[in-house]
Order: sequence, then C-alpha cells, then structure tokens
Amino acid sequence: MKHLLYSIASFVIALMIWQLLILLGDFDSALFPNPWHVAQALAETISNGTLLEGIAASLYRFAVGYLVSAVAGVLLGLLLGNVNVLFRLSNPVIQLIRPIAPVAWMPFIVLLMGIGDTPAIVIIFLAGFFPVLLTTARAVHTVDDIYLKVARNYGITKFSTIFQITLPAIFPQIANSLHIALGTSWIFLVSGEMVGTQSGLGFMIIDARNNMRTDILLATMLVIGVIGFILDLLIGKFEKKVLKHYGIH
Amino acid sequence: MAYINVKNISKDYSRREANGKCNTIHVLKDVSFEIEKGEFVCLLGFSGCGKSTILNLLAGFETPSSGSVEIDGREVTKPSTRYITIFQHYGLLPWKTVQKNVELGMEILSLSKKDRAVRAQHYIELVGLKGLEEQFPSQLSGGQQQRVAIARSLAVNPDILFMDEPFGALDPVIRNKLQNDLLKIVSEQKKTVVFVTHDIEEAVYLADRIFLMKSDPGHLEKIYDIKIPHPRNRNTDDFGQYRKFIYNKLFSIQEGKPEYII
Repeated sequence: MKHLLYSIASFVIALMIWQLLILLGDFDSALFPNPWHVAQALAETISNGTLLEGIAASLYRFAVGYLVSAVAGVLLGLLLGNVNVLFRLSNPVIQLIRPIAPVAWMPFIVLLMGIGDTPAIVIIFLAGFFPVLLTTARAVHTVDDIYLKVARNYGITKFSTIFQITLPAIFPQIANSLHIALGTSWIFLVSGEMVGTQSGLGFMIIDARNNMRTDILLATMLVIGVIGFILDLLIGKFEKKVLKHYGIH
Repeated sequence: MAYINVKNISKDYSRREANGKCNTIHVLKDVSFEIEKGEFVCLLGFSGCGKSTILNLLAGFETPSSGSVEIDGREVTKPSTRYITIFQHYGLLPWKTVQKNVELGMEILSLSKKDRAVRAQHYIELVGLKGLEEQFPSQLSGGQQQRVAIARSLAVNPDILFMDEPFGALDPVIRNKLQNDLLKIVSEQKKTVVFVTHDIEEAVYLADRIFLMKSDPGHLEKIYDIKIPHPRNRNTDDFGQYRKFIYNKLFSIQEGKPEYII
C-alpha cells in the first residue's frame, strides 16, 4: 500500500516537473508538448490503430529474438560449460565479439538481409545471447560437487546428469541472466527498429520525428517504457517463483 | 577374504602454492584394513586425518594414489549403486519433491513408473516421513532431510552405506533419534555401514569397531572393538569407560592404569 502511494507520488512529481519546465522555459509547444497533449496523442494513436499495430510488430520480433537467444544461450552454455576444450577455443572470440554493441551490427545485417523483421530480431538475439551463454557456461562450474557425486553414485549417465542435475541446479543463475537479458533485449529492439524496419515502436519514433509530431514521439517513448516495465515485472515474478522453489529467498 | 578389503592405500594431492611451486600433500598414508559383511564401522578422528578421503576412495569417487580397494572381491574403480554415500549436507535435489528425490536413484533400475512410486513410498514410510511426499527439501528440517537421503539410498537396496558425518549438522535430540533409527534400519536390512564422525560418543554408541585415525599424514592409528550389546545406553558405566578410553586415545593422553578395559 505504502509502495503504491510512493509510486503514484513519483509520477505526480514527474508530471509536475514536466509541466513546470514548459511553464518556465520558453519552448516551442510543437517541439516540447505538455503532458496533456501527449495524452491526446496517445489516444489518437490508440484510436487509429497505429499504436497497437506497432506494439504487435515489436512484441512479435521481441518474442522470437528473445526466445531464440534464451534457448540457444542456455543450450550452448551447457555445452561450453561441460566441454572445457570448446569453452577455451570459443571464449577468446566471444570476448572480442561481446563488446560490439548490437546496434553496430545493424548496417551490416541490413545490407546482408534487407530491411524487415530479420535485422530487428537479430539485434535482440545478439543483445540477449551472450549474457545468457556466458552466465550458463560459467554457472556449470559452480554446481555443488555433492549433486554430481549423487548423480555418479546412482549411476545417472553424463548426458542425463546435464539435464537432470546441472541445468536445474544452475537454473536460479540462468533465470537471473534471462532477467537481465530481457531488459537489454527490449532496449535494443527499439534501436534496431529505428534503422532496420518500417513498423514497430522504434519505427514509430522515427516516423513521428519525420512528421515533427513530438507529441506522438513522447507518447511512443512512454509506451516503450511501460511495456519494458511490465516485461520486467513478469520475469521478476517468474524469477521469484524459481528462487522460492529452490529454497533461496 | 573379507568383504571390504583395503590394502596399503595412500592418497596424495598436488597443490600449487602462492609462489608457483607445486607441493605434494599426503592426505592418507599406507592404510590397510578389512571390514566384514554386516559390520558397523566408525572412522573417528579430527578434521584433516583423511577419514572422508577413505570414504571417497571406498565409494569410488576417487582412486588411491597407490594401493587397492576391493569390495566383495572386486576392485573399486567407480561409484556403484551397491554402495551408497550419505553426506552431511544431505545431497537432496532442492528442485525435486521428497517423492521424486527418493525415486531418483531408481532411474537406472528397470522399474515401471508405478513400481518406482510404490517403492519410494515404502521407504519414505520406513524413515517416518509419511505425508511429506510432496514437500520440497527446503520445507523440511535438517533431520527430515537426512531421513529423505537415507530413504533414497535404501530404495536402491545397496549392500553398503557410506556415511560422511551424516548427523553432524543436527541438534543433539534429533541426532540421537536418528542414530537409533539408523541402527534399527541397518540391522533389520543387514547393511554394512562405514560411518565417518568426529564425535566420540556417536562412535561409541553406533560402532561395532572404531577405526581411530590421526593426521600428518592421515593414517589409521588403531582399531578398537566396542563390546557393548545393543541397545546401548549412554549412561551406563560400560559406555562411560569406553568413551573415556577412546577420548584418551584420541587426544593421546597416557593412561595410568594399564589394566583398563579391552
């Protein structure tokens, strides 16, 4: 309850500062719209359907890119974590590729694959894949020796041990990396859509800028924030459930 | 030949020191002993005497640097469901329910799903946890968790139980209760038990024979028979004398009276 009150107060204060800036500063109202105009723009994009269309396009790309990065990151991470030779062979290259911002890949991917869904999906994939991969590979080595002894004692095969013992044992760490990857993926989705696509929330921002509709621009930004917040909330719930299940509070 | 036959085993580890040099640590030096089927043996000693290392070698988790371990006439090279280890921290899988934890060991036995469940149920009842099948380990007390681990091991019907300070993390009342239940179960099911502990009273209470171990390097100092009939009572003179005697041996206190027990 107290938490809710603080949240409401936080937004009210932010809106007041926003309105205050407009009152005090000498901005062109077309360039810096007030909250009310942004709300109207939001209603406009909802009623003409462009917002929902954009959200649908973005969420679709996000779902595909994120799921592929999560599944590939976990599976390859398990492989690298269990086969030390592979880890040592691939780690140097991974460390070199990882600091390259996913957006830097954009021109290359657009030239290679053309604009459309693919570049945005690839960006999301790149944003999520490496953190999940490396966390999983490293976490494999943190599995309590006692679990592995139990598996050996009861004659569980090596392959079966990976999925029956290792994967569940490190799942709290994986869940945490999935949580972080979700946030970065969502951030990069928007930047991916700003250059590589003709639809989606990122495109709506570019489109609003081209049409000098700063009210739509800010409304879209708010929507991006709200969706990111909801996604984070959902995966946070999921993570909490996982940790509770494991007896980690 | 004896059931468990350990001949001249040593175990060395090499450890890299801070200055980069490799150092060899002798954890265990030239240990030999025999254990008969159905015996309850306690390995007693301070930390660092190599008692857990012996257990790891017997269980096949590690191989000796020299010497050999034979169980039932066969050299031990890897773990087997014929001899199950029970750990101090239980080794339960926190993501599985009690029922599923107990069923874990049965996976390589070719049993139907139903047979597995029935068998798990039987052993869960045997260790006194009926009604807790769907709980997760984190919802149980330490004593209950160790009961689950015992049920899990019994469910694969092993010949030997290796127990590595299994009750070390439990409070005294629970520990005594588990000791009694363990004695009852292993005598009924005719299991051979090798039990590691640093608790003198626990060793005297449980063991047919106590293997006293000392460190630097870890070795078997001496073997003592505990000739008190079961059920034992901690408050009898007999028990007290054994406890005192083992205590003095463990702490290398010279005994004034040579005509002591044994």
